[in-house]
Amino acid sequence: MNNFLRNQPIKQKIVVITLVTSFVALLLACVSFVAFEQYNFRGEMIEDLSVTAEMIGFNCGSALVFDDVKSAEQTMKGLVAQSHVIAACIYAADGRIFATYQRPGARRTTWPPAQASGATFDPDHLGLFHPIEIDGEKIGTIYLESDLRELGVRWRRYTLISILVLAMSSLVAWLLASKLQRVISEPVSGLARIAERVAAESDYSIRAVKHGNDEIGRLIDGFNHMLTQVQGRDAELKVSRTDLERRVEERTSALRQAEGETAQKAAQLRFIIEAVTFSVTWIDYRSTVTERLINPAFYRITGLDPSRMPELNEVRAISFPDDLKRQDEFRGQLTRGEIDDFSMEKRYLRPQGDTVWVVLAIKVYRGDDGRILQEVSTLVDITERKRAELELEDLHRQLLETSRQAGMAEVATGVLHNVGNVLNSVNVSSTLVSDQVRRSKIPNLAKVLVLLDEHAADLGAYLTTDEKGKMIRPYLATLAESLAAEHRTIVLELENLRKNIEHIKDIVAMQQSYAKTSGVVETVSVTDLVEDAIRMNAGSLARHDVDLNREYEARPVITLEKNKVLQIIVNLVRNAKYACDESGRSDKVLTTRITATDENVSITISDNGVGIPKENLNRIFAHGFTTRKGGHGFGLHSGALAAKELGGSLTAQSAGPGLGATFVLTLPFKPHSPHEPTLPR
Amino acid sequence: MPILPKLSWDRPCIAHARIIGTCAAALIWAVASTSGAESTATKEYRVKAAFLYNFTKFVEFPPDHFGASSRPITIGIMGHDPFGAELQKTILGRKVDGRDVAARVVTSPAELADVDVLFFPAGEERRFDELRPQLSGAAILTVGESSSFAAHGGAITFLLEGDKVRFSIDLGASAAARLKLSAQLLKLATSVRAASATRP
Repeated sequence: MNNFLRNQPIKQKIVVITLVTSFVALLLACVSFVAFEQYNFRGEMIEDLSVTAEMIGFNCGSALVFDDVKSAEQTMKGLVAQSHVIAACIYAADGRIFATYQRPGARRTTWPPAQASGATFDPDHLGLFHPIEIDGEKIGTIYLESDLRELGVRWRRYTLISILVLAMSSLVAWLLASKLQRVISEPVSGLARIAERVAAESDYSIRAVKHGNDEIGRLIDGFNHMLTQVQGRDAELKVSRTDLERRVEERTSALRQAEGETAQKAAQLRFIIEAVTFSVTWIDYRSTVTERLINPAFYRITGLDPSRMPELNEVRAISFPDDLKRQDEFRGQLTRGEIDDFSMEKRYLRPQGDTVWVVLAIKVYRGDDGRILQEVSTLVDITERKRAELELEDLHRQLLETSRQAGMAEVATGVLHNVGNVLNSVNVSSTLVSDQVRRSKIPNLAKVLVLLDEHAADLGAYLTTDEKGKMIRPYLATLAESLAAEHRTIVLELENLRKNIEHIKDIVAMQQSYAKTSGVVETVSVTDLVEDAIRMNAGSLARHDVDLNREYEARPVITLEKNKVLQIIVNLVRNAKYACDESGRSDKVLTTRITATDENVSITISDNGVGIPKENLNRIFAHGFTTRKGGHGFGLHSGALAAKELGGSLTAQSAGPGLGATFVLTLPFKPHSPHEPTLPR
Repeated sequence: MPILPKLSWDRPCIAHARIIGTCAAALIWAVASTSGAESTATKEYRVKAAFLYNFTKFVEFPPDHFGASSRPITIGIMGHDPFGAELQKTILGRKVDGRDVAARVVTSPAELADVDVLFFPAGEERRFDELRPQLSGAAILTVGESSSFAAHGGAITFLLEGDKVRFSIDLGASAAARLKLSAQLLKLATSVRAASATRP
């Protein structure tokens, strides 16, 4: 029913619904009416039959009490008038059948037993028992049986009436519904037509006409409103569609261009990757099959067969075992996610039999979960660089050796100079002693002894009386005095000589001690070092009349290569002395200062000599630069190098020519080892 | 037994059943007829007792008959009592028009004071004349059982038609006693003597 109705026009739906509703309602009413009528008529029948029974019973009561069957039967014959009564029977109080009656033509032999008052409808008859009473006393029972003809007649009659009413009503209902459905269906179908038109013509300017203010009216309002909006949107849409199309066009061309550019870029990239001299290997773990991309340089560097992709173990096989161990450590860190990249120097033993040095750099790109997605490894052939490095190292070593030797020579020059100075003193002392001895009055003593020997006989008289003899004693006294002075002088000179020889011994021993400890790190007092350097130049400082001014703010102890530092300081002291000397001024002062911070020790050597012109301040540390006659321009250069090697620095300051210069040697407390190998990363 | 013809099993059964059925029927008839014979007289008076009682229902006494009294309707039996216990048994516990029903033997006219129905057994009809002064004008339904009773002026007279008890009515007598007899009763009477005709 619903399915049938669903696709019917509303017009038909309304008619059908109205008809069905009214028909069902009417049918129910008719059925109820017929049923009620039947029910009522049954009641009426019972009522009628009861009245008849009452009457017959009353009329037969006396016959029953006075046992007059004939009279009773006579009375009952009156039932003939009531054609619907089929049979009747009177029972005595004890239930015995007293008298009977049957409709003419009926032949009945059995009777129901007497029962209490009540009516029973059977399919073909109505049976009714009714008590017969006289003066309130039950004296018997009457049974009446009625046919149901009247019931049937009435049922048929009323059913027919109902059908007629139903038919008429339905007809009227149909006519009314057909007329009245328009009230609802026409606005709706009108709306539907408008909607169809809008859909078919895409014309949003059409409007539905409103008939009333009911739900359909509101629906039409809503529809029109919607149309207005759609119209607006449609216009906007058209505009934006045009705009969009234009933009799509633009984007498409831009995209096409970009695509072309991308392809070009990709080709460029490919060209670059293939052209670069270092090996690039790209591994993509994202797809199920690991993808690898290797550029030609890889085969050039490793010497592997370029006609096929090398297996991992082939690459491992040509790696040096030590390098492989380190590489595996890095690889382990990479796998565990501790690092994302590493680089190392390693060697390959090429199948051709030679060894290549390479820098292997690997970088991985991880996904959000830390899984390695891509890996790029590069190999750069550094064999040439390695060789150059080795050569450079060798050169450096030679240079250092040279510089050291040069330094040593400088020191040796200083030492010899000092020794020479001292030897001068030794010479002077020994000449003095030898002159003293040569000019000694000791031969005069021998002359006195000869005189005394000549006057041995009369020595006493000679000494007291002789003119000459009398002179001997004062002469001897004078001689003794002179000899004593001579003795003192000689002893003094010999003492000087001994001291000078001692000095030479010291100088030699010191030189020996520096020479021996070369390259050995030891802990020394900075003050001692500075003092040693001064002592090494003591002779020339004294000779050139340079005053020393010591400003030791700290007396730190430092661990370093003693001889290197000493060479620097000796060199600085000597330069200061020369600077002072050249200035020709009388108040030549050399100041040594030691200062310390938490990390560094600074040794400052200042002079008030000729100073350094500004333009030379940067050049003085260059190899071979000198302003001194006879200088070889090596001292400051090697000093600066040595300071750097020790982890410190050597700097120069000067206010200008004639204003003196200050050199500062800064050294770290911690010994620094610049040659300690560091792993390239 | 060996000389008897050999019979099928069905036959002796049917034969036996017939014999038994006949015997039973005979026995029932004998018993019934014996008891009927013995109780004919008793039955007649039992019926008459019932009729006497039932007459009270079909008789309308004058309005002032009972007055405010709630006394029972009394059936008087003139002289001797032919009912034995039957009448008492019949009226026991019955009510007519809300009144109890009583029965007693009446021997003297003085005892008629509250009698409503007076039965004259056979042979007592002559007493009717004796009682006439008391009866005239009194609302007493007189019932008799001899054929001459009506002639004496009784209202209802029993008679026998075969073994059935019937009655005749003298409307003049009943009217004289200011009694109205129900049409129901009248239609059952074998004969009804109209009042005008009977009036002497």
